Amino acid sequence: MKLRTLLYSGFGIVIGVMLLILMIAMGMSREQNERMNELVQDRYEKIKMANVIRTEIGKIGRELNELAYSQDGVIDIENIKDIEKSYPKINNSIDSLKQVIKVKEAKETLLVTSEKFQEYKAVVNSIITLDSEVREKGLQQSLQLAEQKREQLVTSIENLISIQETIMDETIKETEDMYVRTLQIIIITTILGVVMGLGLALFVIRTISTRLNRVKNVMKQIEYGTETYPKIDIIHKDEVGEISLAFNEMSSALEQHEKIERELMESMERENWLKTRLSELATMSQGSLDSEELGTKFIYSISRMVEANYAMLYTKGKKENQLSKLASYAFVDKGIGRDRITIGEGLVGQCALDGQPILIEQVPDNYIKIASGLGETNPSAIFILPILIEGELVGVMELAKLTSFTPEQLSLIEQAAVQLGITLNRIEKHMQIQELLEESQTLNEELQTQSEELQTQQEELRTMNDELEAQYHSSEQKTKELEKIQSELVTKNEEVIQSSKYKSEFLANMSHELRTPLNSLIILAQMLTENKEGNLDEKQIEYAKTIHSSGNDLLNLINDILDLSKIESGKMELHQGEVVVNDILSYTERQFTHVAKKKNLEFSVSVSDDVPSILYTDEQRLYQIIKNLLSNAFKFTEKGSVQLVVGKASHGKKKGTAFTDHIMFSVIDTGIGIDQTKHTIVFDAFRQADGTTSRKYGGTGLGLSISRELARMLHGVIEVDSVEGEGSTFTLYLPMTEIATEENLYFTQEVAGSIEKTEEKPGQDLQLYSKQEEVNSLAGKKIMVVDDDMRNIFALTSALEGAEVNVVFSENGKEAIDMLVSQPDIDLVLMDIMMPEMDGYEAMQNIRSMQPYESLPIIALTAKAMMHDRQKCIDAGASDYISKPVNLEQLFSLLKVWLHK
Amino acid sequence: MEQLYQPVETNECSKLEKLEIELLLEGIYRHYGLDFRNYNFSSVRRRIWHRIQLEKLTSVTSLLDRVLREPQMMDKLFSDLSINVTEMFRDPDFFKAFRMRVAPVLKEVPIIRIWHAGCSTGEEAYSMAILLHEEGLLKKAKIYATDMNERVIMKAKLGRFPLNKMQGYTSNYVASGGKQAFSEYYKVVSEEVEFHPFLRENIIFAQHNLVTDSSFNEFHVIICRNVMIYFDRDLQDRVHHLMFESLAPSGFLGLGNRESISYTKFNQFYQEIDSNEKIYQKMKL
Repeated sequence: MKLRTLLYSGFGIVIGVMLLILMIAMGMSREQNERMNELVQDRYEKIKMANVIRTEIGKIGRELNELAYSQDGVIDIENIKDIEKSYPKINNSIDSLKQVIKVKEAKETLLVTSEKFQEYKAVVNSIITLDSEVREKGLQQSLQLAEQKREQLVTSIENLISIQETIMDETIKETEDMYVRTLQIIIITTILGVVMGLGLALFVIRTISTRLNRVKNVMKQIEYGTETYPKIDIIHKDEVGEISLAFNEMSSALEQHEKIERELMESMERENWLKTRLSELATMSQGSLDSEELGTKFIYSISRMVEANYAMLYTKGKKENQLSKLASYAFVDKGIGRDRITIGEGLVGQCALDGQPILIEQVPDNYIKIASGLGETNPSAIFILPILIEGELVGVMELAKLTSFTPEQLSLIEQAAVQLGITLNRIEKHMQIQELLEESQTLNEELQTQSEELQTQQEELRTMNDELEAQYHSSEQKTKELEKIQSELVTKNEEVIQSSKYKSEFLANMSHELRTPLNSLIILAQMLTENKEGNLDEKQIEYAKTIHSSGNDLLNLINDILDLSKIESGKMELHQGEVVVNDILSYTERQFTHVAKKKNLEFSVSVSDDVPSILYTDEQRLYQIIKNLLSNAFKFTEKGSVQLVVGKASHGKKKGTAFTDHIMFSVIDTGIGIDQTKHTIVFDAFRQADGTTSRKYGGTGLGLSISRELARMLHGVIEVDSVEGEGSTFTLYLPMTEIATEENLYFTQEVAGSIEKTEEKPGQDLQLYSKQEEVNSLAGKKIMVVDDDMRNIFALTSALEGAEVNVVFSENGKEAIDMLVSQPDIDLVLMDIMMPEMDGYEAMQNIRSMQPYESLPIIALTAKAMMHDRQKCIDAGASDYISKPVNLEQLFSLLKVWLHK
Repeated sequence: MEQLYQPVETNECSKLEKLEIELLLEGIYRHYGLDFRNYNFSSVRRRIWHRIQLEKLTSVTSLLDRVLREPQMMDKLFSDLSINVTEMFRDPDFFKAFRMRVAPVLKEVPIIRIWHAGCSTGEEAYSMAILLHEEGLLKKAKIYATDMNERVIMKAKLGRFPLNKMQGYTSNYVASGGKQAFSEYYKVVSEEVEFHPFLRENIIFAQHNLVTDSSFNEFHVIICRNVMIYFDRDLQDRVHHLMFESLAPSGFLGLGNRESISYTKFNQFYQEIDSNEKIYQKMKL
């Protein structure tokens, strides 16, 4: 049965039973209602009518009684009328009752009542109408008779009522019985209905759940990923049956799908295996730069991958027609795996010739043995394939195996072979490129050497030519010259004597002739500075001050030079005598205290107890040395202190030798210090430790060299001890003995000599070059100085003009460009960066953009510190740069480099 | 006459010619102790023919004859074979890379030893000194500059270089990241510039032959640029071995920009610091 039918019929039955019960209940209640109505209306009506009859009879009775008791015995008309009114009422009621009453007993009683009434009526009427008769018989008697009759009538009516009441009681009783019965029926039918409904429901539920459970159980059995899916047996052709049918279809579809997926997975795995192996091989061969190493690694790996038991790899050798062994796997040398195979020879050779792989499944005996420690056996499959690149043979690979090759293995081998070919090719190309690169570099350098050699040869030839020419000329002249020279020599000799005399005279004069005008110049400048008349403006006073200080510097310089030349020419005279040490020191202290104050430095002079109070030396020179050292110390010290310490040199040391008998004057400062490498340089004439500092600190650099020479004359020595950035200590050692002993002399000379050796050579060189050079290479050149600061222009111009350079200047970039255009013979430009109108960078860029000045040397004048600025200069087109303040020696070297053609 | 000269441009080298060259090199080795046998053959061949042409000779053997009997001819040939191409701050990027990548590491080393193998006339050694000076390392550094050619060593010791090269050197210096003005380091002396003597205070110039001599110290830096390009592969390997032995752990090796360590056995022992400028660092083992 279908579930729908089942459910419809089940619920139909239950609803039917309910309707039945409802109908029964309704029928019964209607019957009861009728009965109640009957009871209430019918019986009540009957009793009411009966009572009407009784009441009316009562009335008649009372009228009669009135009559009886009336004195005259006359019947009042009024009474009669009342009586006659009662008759129809009674009759009506009796008639009505007759119609209504159906019970036999009641009917009979009613009949009796009706008769009794007739009798009573007759009596009453006779009383009223038949007076005579009544009179005859007596009224009283008639009345009595009427009373009798009335009583009979009432009794009869009461009978009737009681009968009716009895009936009513019976009817009520019946109704109650019926109610109980109805209730019972309803209860029974309800119970029946509920039981039936329950039964049906149970049946339906059980049927449906059993069928669904069956389906569910089958569905539960499904395992995903299996090849087969369970099916449901179809027993009923109901809805569940349809579900089962649909499920079965789905299950078959899943089976199908699973199958396809499985196949796909397998093929992907195969593909994956292939790809992984290939990429392993590729990774392995990636970094390889050696074909043999690569071959060995490759053949090992591929053999492992395809489980081959024997493998060989041949590559095409240098000889066209030959393959040579590159690498092997599990190779046993029995004359089979050969080192060299000619193309076309054997299977390997054939494979190389055809360019086609060869697969042999049936391997004959004695072909190759796969050997282990235990024994050897024949392989069952052999695969030989060529390694090709764009159809060209690179090598051949041979693999043997105890089992046959699977298609995947074969395809792996084939694809790997392609890869191997590419890699081998790459390695070969790489080697070639490397070799070519090195070759090109070698060639390049050789060419460079050759060109240099050629150039040298050319120059040599030219010089030789010149020399020959010169020789030719000179040999002619030589004879003449020799004669001339002879005569000249004679005169020269005289001249030398004369000039020596002149020189000393000149020096002596110099001191006077130079100093006198200079002094007046200084004094006049001083006066101008004071500006007593008040007619100078600030700038002019500034100029005067500059003249004054420059004059002083010049004076000092002249003094220094004179001193130095005096010392060098041996003209410096010593005035040795007794010197009171304290005098010198107090004088010195006085001299320098105000300097210290001015520079805000601490200054102290201390003397140790063991210093003798009197020395035997030249007071003036000693003071000069100390003064020089102190002014140097103050010059190079910005903050901190300067000390003058005088002591006995028992703790001082010079190169391991103690100065036991010396007095030492140490000047200790906390200034800029001197780099270790420059300790010796500072004593050179015209030199300072850092070439550039002279611009910052001023001075000629003569002070120390004069001091040294003076110290030497006093049989002493000056030592320096300094750490750059921390300060310096200059110490003067003087012998304490009255007359220098021989030992001391020797020592002093030795020290002096050693210093000379290291120092004087470059100095000499410098002199030499400056004589030759400045005339040669810079003279006649034209240099443009571009700077907005007149002082710089002046300083540079005077320095350059000293070297016979023509100098032009301009004050900003724009002017410079105009000047360049108007004076095309400018050889070099010195360019300041910070300028108004057009700064150095812009100016250089502009100049460089102009065709004729692409290679014009431009030297940028940069600030000292900024590395960044320099790069900017170079980027803007500067050829080189030099820091301000400019070191002249450096500038001249630089100019020579850039003016070199 | 001209036709008799072997055309150098042709790449083909007959067996006979090869034999002659080998005999010449063998003879030089046996007689003078100078070993050019493992030099890059094509380069040696070109240099030999260069000399043959200059001397107006006709064959390698005739040169052999002269070389064996005339020491002056040997000197000439020796100069031909030892190519001395160099310049200051050659390949400025190398020096820039050195400044950026190597100098900071050297700051940690108490005493720095640098070997300039094949220094030629010393330009690069002076460049290195300038670089170290600017990095504040010169005082604690010793630069051993060696070359097999004693004559160039003598020249290097002077620290004088031709004036006409200076413009180029200046731009090299700037390109190498120089921090000062280049002119602070030299002064012009007639047609040459003389570099400041403080630069050579820490340079030791010495004759050393990479082919025949062994290691003489342990170095923190070895610079051997464009030297091995004249050697064949065997000799290159030997020299690499020598340098590897002479290099302190974590020491640096600088090669020429056409050279590479990739093709040698020592590749795995070095770490690339700058692949373009061929600076390598020896790995700690």
